[in-house]
Amino acid sequence: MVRLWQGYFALLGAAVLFCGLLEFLSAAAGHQLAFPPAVFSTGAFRGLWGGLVTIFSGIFLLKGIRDFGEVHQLAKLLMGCILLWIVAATDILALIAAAIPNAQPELWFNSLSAFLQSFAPPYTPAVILLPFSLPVMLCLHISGGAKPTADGSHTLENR
Amino acid sequence: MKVLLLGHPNVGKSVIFNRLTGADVISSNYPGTTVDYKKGLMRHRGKDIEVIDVPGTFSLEPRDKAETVALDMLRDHPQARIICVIDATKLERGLYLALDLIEKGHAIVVALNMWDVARDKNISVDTVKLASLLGVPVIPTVAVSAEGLSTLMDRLLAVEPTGIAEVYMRLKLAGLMTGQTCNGCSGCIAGQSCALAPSVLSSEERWALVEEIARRTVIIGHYRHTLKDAIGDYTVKPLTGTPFAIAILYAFWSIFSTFSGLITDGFLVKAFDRHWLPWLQRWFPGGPGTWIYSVMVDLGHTTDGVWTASKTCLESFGVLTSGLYLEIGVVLPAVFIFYVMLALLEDVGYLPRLAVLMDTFLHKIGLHGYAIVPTILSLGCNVPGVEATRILETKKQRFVMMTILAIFIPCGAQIAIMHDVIPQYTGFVMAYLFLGYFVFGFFLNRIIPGTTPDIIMDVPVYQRPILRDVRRKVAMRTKSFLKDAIPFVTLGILIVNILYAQGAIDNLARASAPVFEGWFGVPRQTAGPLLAAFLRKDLAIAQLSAIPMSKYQLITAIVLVSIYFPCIGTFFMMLKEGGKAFFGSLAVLISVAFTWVGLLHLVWIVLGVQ
Repeated sequence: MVRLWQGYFALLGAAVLFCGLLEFLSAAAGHQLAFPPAVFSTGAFRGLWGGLVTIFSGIFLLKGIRDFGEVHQLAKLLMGCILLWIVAATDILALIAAAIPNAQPELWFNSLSAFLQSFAPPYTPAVILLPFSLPVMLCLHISGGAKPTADGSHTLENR
Repeated sequence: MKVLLLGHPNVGKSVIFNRLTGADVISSNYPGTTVDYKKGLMRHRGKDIEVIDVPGTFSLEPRDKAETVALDMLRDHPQARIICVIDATKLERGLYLALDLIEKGHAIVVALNMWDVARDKNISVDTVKLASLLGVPVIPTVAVSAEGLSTLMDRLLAVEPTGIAEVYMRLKLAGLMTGQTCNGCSGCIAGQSCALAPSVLSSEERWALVEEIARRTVIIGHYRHTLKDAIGDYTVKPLTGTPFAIAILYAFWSIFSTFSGLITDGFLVKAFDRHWLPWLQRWFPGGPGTWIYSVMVDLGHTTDGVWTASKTCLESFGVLTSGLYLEIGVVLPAVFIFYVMLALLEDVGYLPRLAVLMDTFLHKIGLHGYAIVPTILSLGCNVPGVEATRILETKKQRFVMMTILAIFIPCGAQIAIMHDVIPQYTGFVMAYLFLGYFVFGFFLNRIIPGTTPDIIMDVPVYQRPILRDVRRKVAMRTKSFLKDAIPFVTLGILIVNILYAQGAIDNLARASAPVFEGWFGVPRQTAGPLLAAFLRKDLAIAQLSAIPMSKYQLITAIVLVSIYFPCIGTFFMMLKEGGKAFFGSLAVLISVAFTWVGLLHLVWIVLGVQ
């Protein structure tokens, strides 16, 4: 089971790192990359800074798969996911914020259909990768019954 | 009856104060939240009690201004009963202060706060034994849930002073610790206090006593490192903590701009420009052309001798239009969301970790990690930021911190207006200001004589924020902002409009043209907003946006407005906190403004864009 988890998070970490690098480099070059349904952010803020955070997220995820299940390694894995959630959550928040007010000067709120339409693809890579990072919660749940290592820390049982 | 809440910084005194008095005092889990005392009243068992929340102090020998306030309170109220608040997870440290208080003859009750955290960490304190050794009541408390506070107050009503010699006697250590042998003095025979026991302790003797008491009362059980602890560790280690800090700052800025953009651009711009401005333009007494209308509603624009009404509140520059729009429409949403996020970061326990992370870096400019506290507070408003410099130990540190805060840290209102007026350049302006913060901090550290002591920083455990506390902090800080901002913006617009009407701004612009156009490379009309900046910098930035200039000139002008002089609120707070040093700080400030803005102008010239 541990190998399965390791493989899963290695794949996720590699995908996150790759997307982060692409986002950062494309923003630095001033190009917008789009591979529907994914679209990469541009600009200094979401492109460069957000891309950098996504790169860090990928690195944390990849670092967390060694000695899988040990509490410090789990912490790295969780921190990688938190970083990805930060980028994804701020992207989703920006989507929601853009969908609420009506662009017409005489109207205040968008209609329900226009509101829902704003959530149609494309999405940023962080939003697409967000659901794939959620199994970390299951991983943490399992580690609740972890065994302590020699130094007293927990490990995920080999099950 | 008077009660003083005394203890180390960051042990929960302000939370206990809030719970006891029902007052609203901002409490955070890092030192320096309380830098002045706060008073509140409570009634317990039919008695009126005045409770005083005193700034944190490590001992009765003050090291910084906040500790001096604590000591002054103790000296001014010698008969007051004292609640000595000790962090239950770090009993030894708190005991030193408790013994100091006992030695000075104060009537104290010990509140062993954060009892829940101690329990989680498998640390148990034998409170009965501790109380019997110290000769004072010892009550376990959890301030955030008010656990133990009623018992604490009950015991406080009946407490009497004891003495340090009695503590020795109870430990039966007087002979052992003084290296002498008691041959059965009268004190020992009466079972009161040994004649060998000193009544005044040296620091070493007090620490030896602390160690002995802790050895007899504290049991530290096996503790398993949890996921929360591991994340806590990683967020303070530079290699893993720095990426995390970059992500937190990204989230902070992203939420700040998304929320303020939604409220301001989505709704309030419409409300002000499409409803409020036209309504005032139609109904304000006197109408266009009258003096009062120009000052209160719309200055308008004159092109080829024809007066045209403004289309937006931002460009109208009336007290009731621009004034209200700036503070309610632009700054209030931004300041509100800033304070929400600040409160969350404080209560989760991230800010102290950021302080640890920044420690090495801040040492390069003569400060230490906790300098991040005044810096972050200043990003909301410079006034509490300058006040929070009290947590710094030396005059040199306070001078450096106050000076670079006043110059290089833009307040939330300023950032909000920048984000509204020049969203594409805000990042650049901020980066240039932060660069100045470190560059001039570095130079000031080398020029200013004085010392930079090292400190040990406490990092609390991560915890779930309590919604009620977050709500209260945000409400208090936002209310305080509104109270300060609205009168000053109104007054600022009024004064600048009157000066415009009298031609004073034009004369000033003409007189200062060589400096503005030659040295700073900005239009001479920048003189008007600079004058307004003394009252409110956000107002000045909004005024700058109405002056025709290139984007490079606009960036330079905004940097100039940000750093040339503190706003009036900060000015008076610096005067109060800095005393004579304030004038030195002011001299540095003006020279830095000339250098840093002139340098930016030079950069544009070298790049060939100006």
